[in-house]
Amino acid sequence: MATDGEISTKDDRAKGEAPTPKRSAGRGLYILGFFLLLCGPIAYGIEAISFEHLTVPWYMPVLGVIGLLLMIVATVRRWSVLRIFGLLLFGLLPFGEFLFLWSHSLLPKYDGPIAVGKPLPDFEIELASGDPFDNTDLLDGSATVMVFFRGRW
Amino acid sequence: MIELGQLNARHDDFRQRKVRIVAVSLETLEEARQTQGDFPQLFIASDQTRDLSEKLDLIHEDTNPNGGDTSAPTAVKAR
Repeated sequence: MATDGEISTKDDRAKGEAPTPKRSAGRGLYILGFFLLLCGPIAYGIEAISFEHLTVPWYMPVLGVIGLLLMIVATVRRWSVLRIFGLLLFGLLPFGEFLFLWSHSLLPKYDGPIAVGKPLPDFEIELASGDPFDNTDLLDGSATVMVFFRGRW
Repeated sequence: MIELGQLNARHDDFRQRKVRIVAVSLETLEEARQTQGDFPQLFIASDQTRDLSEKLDLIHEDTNPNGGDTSAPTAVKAR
């Protein structure tokens, strides 16, 4: 007699073979989607904490959306309370990831003194060589582009 | 740092046009030296006193992973 979660056919019984285990439709798809959903934040955490390397993690929401779609497909194929609960719990994660990237890509509105045609104020910074660099160095005839960057992390 | 890599890779184009690239951050001189080693074709500068960045209002607060401030990513062409 077949137990819960197992099916057996007359042919199986006739041949004396072990019954084929019954698999829930789309379970693998759902697990794969869930794995992809979590993959982005985990990879970003490893990148940022273990390697101290910060990049724009565009892969995070992309993996999240793919994972969410797989979970939705699996749930449509066969719904269960657990699958719907998982979707509700983790379904907003990719949108949160998009929001995270969008909010961190915004720069504050510039209201500072830089304007076309206006001279730079007197300043002095230090080149990596140890030499000073100031306004007078901008007057040697060559154009200079000053690129402000966040840092070497 | 990606932008510095791209600028460093195109240094021949800038040199032909007689354009000098000075990359500025709030980091220390020692950190600027390390960055200089990574991008030898650029002029890396330290503005750790914030003299220039504050005058140009280019401080972006609390954006350093360690909790400090950084320069807001900006390019300024000067002659």
